[in-house]
Amino acid sequence: MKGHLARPVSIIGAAYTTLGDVRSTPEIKDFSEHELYAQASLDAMADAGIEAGDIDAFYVGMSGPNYNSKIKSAGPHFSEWVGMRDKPTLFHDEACATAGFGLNQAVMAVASGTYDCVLSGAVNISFSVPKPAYPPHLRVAQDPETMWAGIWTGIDPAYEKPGTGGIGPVEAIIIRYAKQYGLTYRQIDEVLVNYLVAQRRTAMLNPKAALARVTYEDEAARFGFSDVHEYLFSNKYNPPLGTLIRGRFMGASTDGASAVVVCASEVARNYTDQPIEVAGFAMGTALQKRFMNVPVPSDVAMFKQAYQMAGITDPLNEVEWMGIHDCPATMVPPVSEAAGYIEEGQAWKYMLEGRVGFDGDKPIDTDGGRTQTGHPGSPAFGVEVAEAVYQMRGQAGPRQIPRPPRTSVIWGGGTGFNLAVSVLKTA
Amino acid sequence: MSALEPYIKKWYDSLRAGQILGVRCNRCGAYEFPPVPVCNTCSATDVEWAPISGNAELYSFAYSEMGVAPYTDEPVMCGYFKLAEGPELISWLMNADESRDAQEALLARLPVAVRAEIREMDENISWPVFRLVE
Repeated sequence: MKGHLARPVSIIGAAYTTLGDVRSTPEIKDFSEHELYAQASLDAMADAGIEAGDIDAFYVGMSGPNYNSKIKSAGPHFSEWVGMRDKPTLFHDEACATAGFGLNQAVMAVASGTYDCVLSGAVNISFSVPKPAYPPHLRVAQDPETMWAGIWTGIDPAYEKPGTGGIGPVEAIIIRYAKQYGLTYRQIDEVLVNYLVAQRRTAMLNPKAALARVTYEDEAARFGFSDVHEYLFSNKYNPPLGTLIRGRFMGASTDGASAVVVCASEVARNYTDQPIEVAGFAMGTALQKRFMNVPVPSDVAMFKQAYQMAGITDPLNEVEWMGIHDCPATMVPPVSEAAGYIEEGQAWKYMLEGRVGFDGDKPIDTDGGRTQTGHPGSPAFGVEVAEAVYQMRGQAGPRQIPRPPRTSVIWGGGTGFNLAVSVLKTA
Repeated sequence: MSALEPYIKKWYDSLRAGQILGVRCNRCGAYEFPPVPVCNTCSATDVEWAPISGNAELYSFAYSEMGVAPYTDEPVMCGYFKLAEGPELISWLMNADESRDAQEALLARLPVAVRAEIREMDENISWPVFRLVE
């Protein structure tokens, strides 16, 4: 029957690496894509209590492999690094939603009975690229022009690229949101700046957030600002990329990797006492022009499908945690409302009032999100899944929300646009 | 799982310093070469760095007219080697006659003993290559 899994599937392990710069961050210093992928994958296996011998296949996601890492069809390159010699792989690229598609494909493979257990990971290095034709430990700085040109190859060159810059859709959607709910540009700026300040405080509680080591308040003071908001409103320190999108509203680029291990729920407890069921999921597409709509039609369709699969009829009361790919932060209001997690037209108020933090009543991105904990590219969705898993198990440490969520929803979007949703439930 | 090392850099640095290293599994004793942080024989992650003897056998070969970029444009005889410790590796076979007749004669004798040595490929990279022992 369409829209239902043939057998239940659970996440038994999840992990991600320190998010930083392989040229300078101590925990990942001198790592290549191989070590990053291996670190996240072996950590996810350890988290699951499983060894590679019990895993049937491994998936490798990477955004822009040709321009970032100078490789292609590279799944096999990583096989022996995770103990999967000769086993099947899938190498895929759905930009920043890559890890979501990897998770969903793994769930389908297990649900179909093709495999019992699958490792699905993703890795990206953004700040540096391998010296052409040499082993990947010999790296040179990524040329920003080449990187941005590579990112823009994710925009349809036939009918969209001549008409838009990259910032277009993620600004257009918040302008449309402002129109729909009567908000001024200044109000939107305040909402997003408030969100940034709160998320930085959260990220400082996350040891994997290598780039978030001081509060925005301290950072503002260092540049002579007594008011953190004025600091983040300043065009000098938070430069506009459009009218409403500023540099710091975007994800903070990092290097890193994430991984999850999924298996048939019937054997999940052989490995862990706390399996998390993937109760529903969905995938979709949206050309850039579709972001003139609030909500984006494919988001509506995805949440409907995923909730139906998961048996959720009242997301406002049933969903207790949400992960949103907040690059940029402008996606939080329209997506949280499309998900039915927050009432229509209200999300901006929740962000302004600090109610989406780990101590709020509608927690979102309690790892610190992509703007503050960092945006590693293709692994992003996996970071959000890992945070959901840790929160649901009650293992999120100082970021733990008071009552571990029983149902979590993750939304991811990646240039193209590729869209993915996962619904997790405490098994 | 504990924090990994930068395996690739450490391996190439050790070759530059004249050492050929792999890792050995502390659970089953199998070797991984070049080094990776997990045993592909028994799945253990308890592995440690260990020197490689350099003794190996040639199992197959391929003659690359195109050379091996970026190190040489000249044709290279590439060997498929199995180390005495077990792992497999592709590398250069340095002292084989490349003519068709010689290749067919070599083919008839496979597997044959070879010995590893470190070659400075260029100013950036050193790499283990092999010579026929005879």
